[in-house]
Amino acid sequence: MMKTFKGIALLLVMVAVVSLVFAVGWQTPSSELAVSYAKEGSNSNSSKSHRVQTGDSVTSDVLTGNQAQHEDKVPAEMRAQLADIANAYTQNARYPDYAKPLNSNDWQFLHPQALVPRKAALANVPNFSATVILDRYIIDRSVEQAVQVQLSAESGFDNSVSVTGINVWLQQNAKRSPVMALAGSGQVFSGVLPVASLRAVPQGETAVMAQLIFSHGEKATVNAMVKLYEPEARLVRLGDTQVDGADLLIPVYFEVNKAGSYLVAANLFSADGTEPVSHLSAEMTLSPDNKSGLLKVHAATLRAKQAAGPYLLKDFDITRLPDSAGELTTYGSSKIISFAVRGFPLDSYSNEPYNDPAAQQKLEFLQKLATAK
Amino acid sequence: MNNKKNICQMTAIAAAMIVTAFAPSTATAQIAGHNVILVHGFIITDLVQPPTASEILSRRKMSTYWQDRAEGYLNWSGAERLEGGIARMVFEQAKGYAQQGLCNNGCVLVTHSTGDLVARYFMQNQANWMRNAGLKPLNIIATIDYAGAGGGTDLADVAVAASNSEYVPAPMKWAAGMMLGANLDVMDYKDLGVVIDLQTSVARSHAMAPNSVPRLRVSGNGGDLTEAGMGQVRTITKTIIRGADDTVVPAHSSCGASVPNPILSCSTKLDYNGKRTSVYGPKGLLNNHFPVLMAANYDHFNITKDENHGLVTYVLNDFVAGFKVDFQTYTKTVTRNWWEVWKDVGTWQYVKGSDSKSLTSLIYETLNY
Repeated sequence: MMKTFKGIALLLVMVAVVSLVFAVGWQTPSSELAVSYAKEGSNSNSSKSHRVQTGDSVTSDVLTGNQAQHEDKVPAEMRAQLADIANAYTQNARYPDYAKPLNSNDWQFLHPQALVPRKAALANVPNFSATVILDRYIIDRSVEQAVQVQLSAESGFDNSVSVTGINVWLQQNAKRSPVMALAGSGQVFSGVLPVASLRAVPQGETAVMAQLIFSHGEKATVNAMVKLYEPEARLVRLGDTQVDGADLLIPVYFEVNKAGSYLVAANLFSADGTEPVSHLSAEMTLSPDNKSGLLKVHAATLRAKQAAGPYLLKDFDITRLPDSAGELTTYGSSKIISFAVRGFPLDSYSNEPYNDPAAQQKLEFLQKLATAK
Repeated sequence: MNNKKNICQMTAIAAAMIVTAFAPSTATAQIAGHNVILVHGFIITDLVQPPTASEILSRRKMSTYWQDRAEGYLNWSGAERLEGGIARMVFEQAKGYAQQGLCNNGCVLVTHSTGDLVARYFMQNQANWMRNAGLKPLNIIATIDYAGAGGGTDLADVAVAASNSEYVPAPMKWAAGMMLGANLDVMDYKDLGVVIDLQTSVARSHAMAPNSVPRLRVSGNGGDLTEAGMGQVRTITKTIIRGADDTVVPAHSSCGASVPNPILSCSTKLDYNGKRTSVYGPKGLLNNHFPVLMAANYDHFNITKDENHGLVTYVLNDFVAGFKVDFQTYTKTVTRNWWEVWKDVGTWQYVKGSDSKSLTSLIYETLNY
């Protein structure tokens, strides 16, 4: 009995202490902001976001609402951040859009037209998922394509069950390509979609369907969307490179099926293909009578990367731009995966910096924001 | 057949534009002396009830706060595809602004959600289209992108997968459908309109060439999970979307990250709630994409409104090596005694005034000094 009383008394004391601690926290005189944090903390919200805790003791560097009112209309930290952005924009504008410096974290340039794989859960096989993987989302159907299905069992999955086979086909509306069995076992199955299969469905958005057959008799399908095309233009060779003022000029030659305005992009690397140098892009008007264009690299980019060459040009991304709104983008390809490109000593180029008049007004806008009071 | 459909559509757009041109404008302000054009996000009713041309043109879907500060609109229908009806509709409106000279001094586009993708596609192609139409391109000097979906969303991936396969788990199908206004049990792939363009691979294949327009990104990570009905939907969509999200769009998209990874912040040094800490953030950003503000408690739909939903933090990114800003003055540091085990200790940074003002008014007041 005595022990029970002692236990209750101890519990009451602990509750009192905790209440006191919270009360002190709530009454922290340091700021109005501290109160607002406490209010925020009372909401139940995103499960992924972290929360500011209630009852915080706050050090003296907190800005109060009153302080905020007495200062400039634009918070100083926002000004500083906008100055940071203006500075970053200035640095980037030193290099032309046609030849931006390329870095290993420029994923979107290094993986043009990429297929972003989706790990798909299955309704009829719990705790199991499958991912259909192809090299690109936009696929030249005149070239065979590797396809892979990766399997993943999560905790709770019945490990006595396994996938015994995977069939793959292309599907677009009611049209289907012939079914092809992938080779493999365990967690990875793979195969190659032949050109005949790729051409068995019309050009355009197509589902790559993968049917999984399980050892316990269940079947399930997962899919990845791709876009099939026949090239409207094919890059066949490069011409001799030359220096023109501050630019390295790289002539490019095509076979052209359909005239139009083409956006030709590619990545320039060191000759061994390991060091990224520049992402090149150029708009070219191509036709059966005009089959060539120029890619350019500005010396500002080459100097920033300390890359005098020789180089390797690869990762081609060729699109025919729509002439009018509503027209579909179509695509081109390169007959060869990569081309060697001759380089020149960096002092062969003139020294004028790149100047983009289109960037000037935008920079002034950002700078004005950064200096606003 | 397609040409006939296009001609009919263009005629309807032209007729509707004549009516809209005489509609009164209530705009009262610009941003730093530049006219503002609004590009709204995906409208949830579009898939089941596709709007007419005149309904699209008269749309005022961005928050009233921005409507009061806009001089133009680039409206579109979610029932259409980006490269089809959306491009035609947006370009028709843009031609009108080009003829009026609305952007001769430079315009700022304010986009929400899918409006980010629509704006990017328009900006890459408008020079060709305007030239072919005998007009000067609109001079866009910057964009402000709220909850930008230009990098795609897992919800669209699930919606398209569900239209192609009966093996997508029912809760995922239901939640994605609820957010996109589509019954994915009965809807066919071809009826998904712009949702098809919002698949991660598809969105990131559209108009990715570098250009000189700075894109200022605003990203949220909130979503009330307790609200009756929609709370359940949001709980599931937050599971479907990899990484941080605002219930519809993942952080990799709204931040403008170069890789569609499941990042947890727009910065590697700062959490959405403003806490300075090491976070799984983007290793690189898309060309000229600059995350400006993050907020832990704003969601996809309230982020453009003039409503306060908690504190807002500014993004630390070290855009340029060697350029450092001392933010120390604007931080909040929490310490704890040994027995205060429930406290989250550390340093937080916030934008002053975000305890009472809306994120949108903070942006506007900052930019329109």
